[in-house]
Amino acid sequence: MRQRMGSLWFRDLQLSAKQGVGFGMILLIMATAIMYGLNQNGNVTNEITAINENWLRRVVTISDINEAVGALRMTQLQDAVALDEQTRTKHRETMVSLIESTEANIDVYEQLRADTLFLDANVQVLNSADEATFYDEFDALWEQYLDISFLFLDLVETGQQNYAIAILNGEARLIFEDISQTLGELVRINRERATEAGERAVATYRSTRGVIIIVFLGTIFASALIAGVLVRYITVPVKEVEKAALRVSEGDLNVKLHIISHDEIGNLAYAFNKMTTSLRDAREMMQKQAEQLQQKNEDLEAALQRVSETQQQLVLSEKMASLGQLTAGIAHEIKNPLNFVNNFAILSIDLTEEIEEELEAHKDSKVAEVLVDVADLLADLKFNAKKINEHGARADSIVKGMLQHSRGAKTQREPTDLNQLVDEYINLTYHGMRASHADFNVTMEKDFDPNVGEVTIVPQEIGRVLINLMNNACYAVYERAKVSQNGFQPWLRLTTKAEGDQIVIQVSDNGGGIPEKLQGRVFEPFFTTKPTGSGTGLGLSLSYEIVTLGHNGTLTFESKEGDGTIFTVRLPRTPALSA
Amino acid sequence: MRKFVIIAFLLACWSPSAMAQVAIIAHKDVPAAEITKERVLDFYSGESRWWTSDIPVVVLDLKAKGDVRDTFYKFLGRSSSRMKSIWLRRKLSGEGEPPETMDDAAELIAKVASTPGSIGYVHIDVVQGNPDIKVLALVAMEL
Repeated sequence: MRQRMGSLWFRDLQLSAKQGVGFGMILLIMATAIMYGLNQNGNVTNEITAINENWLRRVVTISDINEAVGALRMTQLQDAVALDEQTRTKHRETMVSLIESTEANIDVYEQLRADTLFLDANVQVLNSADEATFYDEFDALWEQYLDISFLFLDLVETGQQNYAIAILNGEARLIFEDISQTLGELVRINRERATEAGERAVATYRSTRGVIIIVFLGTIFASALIAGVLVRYITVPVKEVEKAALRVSEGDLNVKLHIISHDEIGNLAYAFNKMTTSLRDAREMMQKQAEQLQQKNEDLEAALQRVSETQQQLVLSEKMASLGQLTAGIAHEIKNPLNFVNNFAILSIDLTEEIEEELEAHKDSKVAEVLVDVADLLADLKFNAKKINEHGARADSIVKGMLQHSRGAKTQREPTDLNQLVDEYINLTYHGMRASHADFNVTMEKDFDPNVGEVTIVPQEIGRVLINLMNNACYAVYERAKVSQNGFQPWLRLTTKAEGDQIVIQVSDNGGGIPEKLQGRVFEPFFTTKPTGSGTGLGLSLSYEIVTLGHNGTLTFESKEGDGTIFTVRLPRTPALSA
Repeated sequence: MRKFVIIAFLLACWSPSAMAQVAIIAHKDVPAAEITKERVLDFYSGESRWWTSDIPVVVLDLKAKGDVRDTFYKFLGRSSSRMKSIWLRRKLSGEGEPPETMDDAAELIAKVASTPGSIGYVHIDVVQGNPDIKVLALVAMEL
């Protein structure tokens, strides 16, 4: 809200002062109007007073004089023809009172004239000069009439009634007519004044009324103006603050109030802005902390994940380490007795062969019939001994296998053409499979990445891994083919891929897949889904060891029951220094 | 003392810049050396008929309208018509006659000089040196 420079002083007044100024102005206007109204009213009152008391009284007074003088003349006429003293005396008395009343009225008239000298200047006295002239004229005429009256009396005294009557009807009448005319002029003048004053009073009243109406409207306008000013300076800023506060409550902390007056509202706006600024700062800080927490959380989760994987690896490694130890121990212990078993078995076989030779040499003697029984017995002995040999050899091979398992992976590494290796072992496996299951047809797919090149590995060990994986795959598809209808096409796929400094080998099949609840156990030593007697259950655990411990790689799988399985071997191109 | 003042006043009138004045004059034997306006008015309105209990007053008026007459009546504070109406009423009531009216100043002076107890008024210049008359008061004329 921009402020004009001119209203700067008002803008910075305190609210109470603003209201004071506003209402003060209204009061000022109203007071002015009332004063004016009263003043005008006073003028009107003066006019009316002047009208009533002065002009009209003059008119009345003059009329009375006129009447009195006329009556005087009539009385004089009557007196002239009066016959007796009593009547005459009565007439004389009447004349005296008429003259007295005339004089009294003249006094009143003169007083009324004197009074108008002190009237308010607003009340004009029209035609004063004319009035003075007429009045002097009247005075002169009245004096003339008085002179005539003296003459009349003298004439009557001296018995000249006729002459007296003639004078009354002549000169006196003329004088009286002049008096009436002059007085008429005075009446006219004063009536005019009364009328004019009345008109002026009405005009004043009307103009006053008009002015008061205008002032009334002006006061309303001023009030509206002042209300508008107050709204602009008070209500509008307050509403701005209210809107800003609501926006802040909705979360927008970038609100800034632009009220710059130096009154209470300006101070409020200033404090408000400070408040939102500190809220903003606090929120930013909180957000930063939240981000940091989030980051820490993510780090922790990642670390947790790693720890969990490491834990699993550790558990597995431990399992296998302890198992390795166990098998090493067992193997070690079995080794010796087995040696003895083997040796004695061999001796036994040798002995029996000697006995057989002896008997053969002496087969014609009588003893021969007994010896035939002995020969049977010897044959049994031989057979038993062979059996011992057989089983011993078998135990021996088990032990060898177990020893292999527990052996450390410290054999010779060399740069090897991986694609070539894989291809060799594919052939090995395929022919081996065909050899044991002639009716089995599986499609072998290959997809070798030419960028793979040479990898530093122990080729025999990786080869063993490949064989193991491929054998498992073949077994899976073979088993599935057995239970599936004719439409099932078993396949195996081997892919190699170079990914940066890693080599990825994948063995995929569309066999029956590994059930989910068994997936956690596939790398366990001795764990197998094959029936007892076929397989040792050590293949995958051995492969796992070779890949992870021996080559610092990873061996993982994906499998879905009914879909197939993919085993993935990741090897570093060049091995890191082994732990 | 008052005589001195009057004489001094008279002397002052001889100076070239003297004001015109109306003199209120009376017969030399009237028992007054000066007179107040009120008393003059009383005489001229008929309120009082006596100088003292045994000297009646004889009031004289001028007929001719003019400055002298106007000045005198203004001095009295009454208009001529008013005075006349007063006398007409008196006459009608049988209380007496109005003042005698002289035709001019000379006639009035002659009458005052020859009538004891008389009182009148004229222009001061006319009064000069008449032994039978005394001036009781002077009224300045407004020219």
